[in-house]
This record gives sequence, structure tokens and C-alpha cells, in this order.
Amino acid sequence: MTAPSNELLASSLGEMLEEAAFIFTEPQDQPPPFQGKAVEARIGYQGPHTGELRLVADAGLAATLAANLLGEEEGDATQGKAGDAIGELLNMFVGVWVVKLFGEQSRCKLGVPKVRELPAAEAGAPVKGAACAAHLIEEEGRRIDVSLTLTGGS
Amino acid sequence: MSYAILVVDDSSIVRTMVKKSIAMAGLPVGKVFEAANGKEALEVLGKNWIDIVFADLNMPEMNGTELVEKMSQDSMLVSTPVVIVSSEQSQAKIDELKAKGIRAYIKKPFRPEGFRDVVAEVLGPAQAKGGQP
Amino acid sequence: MQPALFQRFCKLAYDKAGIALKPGKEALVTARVSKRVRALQLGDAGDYLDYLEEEDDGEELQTFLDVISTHFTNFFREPDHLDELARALRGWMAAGQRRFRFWSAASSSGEEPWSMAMTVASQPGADRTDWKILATDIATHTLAAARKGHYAADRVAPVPRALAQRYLERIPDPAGEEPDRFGVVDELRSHVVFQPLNLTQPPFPMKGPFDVIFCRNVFIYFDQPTRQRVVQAMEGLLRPGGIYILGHTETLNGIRTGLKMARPSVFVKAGGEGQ
Ligand SMILES: C[S@@+](CC[C@H](N)C(=O)[O-])C[C@H]1O[C@@H](n2cnc3c(N)ncnc32)[C@H](O)[C@@H]1O
Repeated sequence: MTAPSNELLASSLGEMLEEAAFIFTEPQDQPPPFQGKAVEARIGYQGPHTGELRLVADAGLAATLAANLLGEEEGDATQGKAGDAIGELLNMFVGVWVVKLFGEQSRCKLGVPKVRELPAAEAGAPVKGAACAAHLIEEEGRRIDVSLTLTGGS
Repeated sequence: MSYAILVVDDSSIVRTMVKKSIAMAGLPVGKVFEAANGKEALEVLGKNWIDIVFADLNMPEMNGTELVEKMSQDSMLVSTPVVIVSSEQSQAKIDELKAKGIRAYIKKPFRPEGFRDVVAEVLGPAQAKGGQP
Repeated sequence: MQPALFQRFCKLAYDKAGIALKPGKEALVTARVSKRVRALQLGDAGDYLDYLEEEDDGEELQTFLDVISTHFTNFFREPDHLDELARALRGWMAAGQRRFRFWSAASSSGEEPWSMAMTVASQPGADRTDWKILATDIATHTLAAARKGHYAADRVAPVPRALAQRYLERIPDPAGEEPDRFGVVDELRSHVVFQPLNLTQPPFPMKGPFDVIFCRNVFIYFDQPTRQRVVQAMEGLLRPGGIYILGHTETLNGIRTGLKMARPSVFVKAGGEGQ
């Protein structure tokens, strides 16, 4: 068992963004505020502990992510897929996350991502009661946050 | 010959990614069907001949595990190969699904080569054309 | 410029970017610095140095590094390296590999990564693979031009005709005053990602692995210990069987590395065939 930490969240999400979408990010402790709209996804898991992961991305970055997942240039084909992309990214992330924490043999129940749009102010507010959190910035300065809230268990 | 495939995932992005990867694997694809959950998948399976199913696990309405169980109880569908494509990484879960009859398991995030190997395994090596992309 | 002042500029360039300015570059540095002094309306080169050392956002530092380092590059420069890329790619595709990651590590104004992209895209079957190119450079202004991918006619002249027809489009000047320019087509754009990166400061944020790394004509800026660090870090990001390419005039002489020379300027990482 590995304990969840800010660093583990940051490095795991960074790896995932490169592997799945060829997007390169760096962690930043004091990120710039979100500009305009953001997209949020949440997913729960139950294992040795119960937790909820939350991903919040700049809406523009989410659109780029959708395009990269699909291997398309941003445009008609990727229009309206930003929410789906963030949801799916989190879905992939939670699978990798629980293995990092609990190992390959453990049994976890994973949830289904819930996605919504957020105004910038709400997106950037720190998550109350989060056990750990990380902010990543991509090359154009667009931001993606990940945080973990423990909701039960050890 | 070409194969009729069914791709089951609640994310339309993933359905597209799966279809692309299957094409990259070199599988001669005929008709492609899509479903957003297990229930929709069963409807498609009831009405069409499907050669191979690629399905996610965690979906609303009916998840992948239930889909596999339902298919194994149906004499028409019991021999249709199912490949699970999911972000669940746990070996225990994979072993359990294999015991339920799934033919292969691909972990997300996946690479196109993962599909090539699986297609070779499930449909015979001649179908995964390494030499001719 | 006073030797002591020149020394301080050298030290700054080295500390911040690992750029080792050779003695004899005084004239170049003096000329380029004086332009910045005028642009910023400062008194002299000494003021400029103070400005660089005191500014906290590092913006002028980027400009300084930009103006003192040269970005010379060309489309299809050293074209045998692009043939090498094409040959390797065809071999890997035939072996069943379907995902490819390439890196242009000092991409300058983009001619190198776009040449790579044209080469890869034009291989039969490549449209049914998942391929991407990462293009990095320390100079952010140059990188912005690279991403934009618009070039004057004489710049794109070296592009082989068939590739130019397929992958470049004419962009008329909206005012109709300037000559037409040429831009890379959208089909290539989704495959190339531009990212600022200082090569002298490994570890790099990428996890890799890459199939091919182009690291051409950037060693000139580095001294031997820096080269050692850079090569070591890049070797770690190359997959076994992957290919490492230097400029024609460059070597790995005196560098400890597991990379094996296949022919001058082309190196291979030992291990696996294909994926
Ligand atoms: C002569 S150009 C080579 C361009 C291209 N690779 C070619 O061979 O045509 C050198 C490039 O290296 C970049 N460079 C210099 N120092 C660097 C560093 N520390 N990290 C990354 N790039 C650097 C410069 O900005 C410049 O664009």
C-alpha cells in the first residue's frame, strides 16, 4: 500500500496526460487562476479506503484533450466532446490510481464519472476537506487540477 | 471476409478510439455497431450478427460484467467472443472475468498494438496483418 | 564591451541555459545586447545585465537567450536523416508496431519537425498508425513561429515537390502587399506538439519512450559535461532499438553512453526489435 500524496497525484496525472493524449504538463504550487469556463469530473472508488477523485480542467484544454484523444485537429469532429474527454481521462486515471495505492491484486469498486461545466471562480476554489491535491500547467499556461477527498475507510 | 464488430462504451470518444485502434490492428472490419451500455448492447446483439464485442466495464444502466453474464446465459450469444476494454487494472478482477468467459482484456489507456495482439489471439493470427498496415 | 562584463553575460547564458559562449563572440554579444539596451531605453550593457539579473518573470532573459543564440535551420536539412527516419518507420510498421513517438529536441523555427512530419505522413500505411512528434526548443519566440508554420517561398524551396504539393498550402497576404507565404496543412498539425524545453536541465518532464530522437546542431551551445548530461537523459527516454540522430558535424566522442553508432551521426539504443 502506498499513501496518497500531492506528488503522487501530480506525477500520475502527468504520466496519464502524456500517455493518453500526448500533452505535457508540469506541476505548479501556485497556479494562475482559471480563465473563463472549466470542466469538472468526479469519480468515486471503494477499496481499502473510500475516496472521490475530482478533475477540473480549463475548458479550452479539455477541448484540446478531446482532439488529442481522438487524434484529430480541433474542429467539427471534436466539437462538444470536452466533457466526455475529461470524464474519460478521470475514468482512466482512477484505474491507474487504485493500483498505485493498493496494488494489482486488490479489489476495488470504481464508479462512473460525473461531468459538469463550472464558472472559473468555482473551478479554482480549493476543495474543502481534500486529502491531497495537485495543479498542473500545460505549455500554453492552461490549468488542470486533481484532488482526492477521502469519504470513508482507513 | 470481414467482421461485424460491436463497441460498447458510455463515452463516444472511447468508442471512436476503439474503432480506430481496431482499424490499425488490421482487422478487416465490415459493419460496426455501437452501444452506450450493456442494455443497448444486448438489443444490438439480438438483432444483428456480431463476430466480436469490445466492451467497457463501468457503464450506467447495465455494466460490462452483467453484459458478459447475460451473454453467457443466452445460447445464441454464448460463443460470441467478448473483449473487455476497461480502466480497471486489478488482476483479481481480470481473472474473475476470464472465469466468466471473456476472451481477452485490454487495459485503458490502451495502445493500438494491444488490439493487434488480441485480434490475433481471438480470431486467429492470420487476421492481424502485421505486414500490411 | 569590457572583458569582465562579457564574462558576466557568458556566465548568465551558461547558468540559465547552458549556452557556452566562446571567446571571440564579444562582437556578436555587444551588437545584440546594444539592440536590447536601446529597445528597453537603458543606459548601457551594464544596466541591461542588472536588468536581467533583477527581473523576476524571466521574460527579458528569454529574449536575451533568443538574440545571442542562432537558430539557423532549413527544411530537409541533412536529408539522409529523414531517409533514415522513413526507413526505420517502414521496418517497424512491417513488424506490427502501430504507435510512434518522435522528438525534435531543438526544433528552432520548425523546419525540422515539419520535415519529419511530412516524411512520416507520406509513408504508405502511416495514416493507419498513431504517430506524434514532440518539438521542443528553449527559445519561446522561435517556438511560436514553429507552431505557426508559415514560411516564405525561399524557405520552403528545399521541400521535395511531391511533399510540398501535399503538405504545404499557399497563404496570400491579406493586404496583397507582401509575397505569398506557405503554411503546413492541418493534416500535419494534429501530429506535432510544440513545447518549450531547456535541454541542459534534465530530468525532462516527458516520460517517453521515443522511437527516434533528432538532436541536431544544438551541441554547439553546450560544453562537454552538459553534453554528457543531455545524452544520458535522452538515452533514458529512447526505447530499446530506438534511433538517436545528431547533426552531421557532431559526434558522441568522449561521451559515456550505451548508444551504438550505426553510421556517422546516427546511433541506436541496444535491445528490442520493434515494440
Ligand atoms: C542551429 S539550431 C538547430 C535547428 C535544427 N535542429 C537543425 O538542425 O536544423 C539550434 C537551436 O537550438 C536551440 N537551443 C540552444 N540552446 C538550447 C537549450 N539549452 N535547450 C533547448 N534548445 C536550445 C536554439 O534556440 C536553436 O533554435
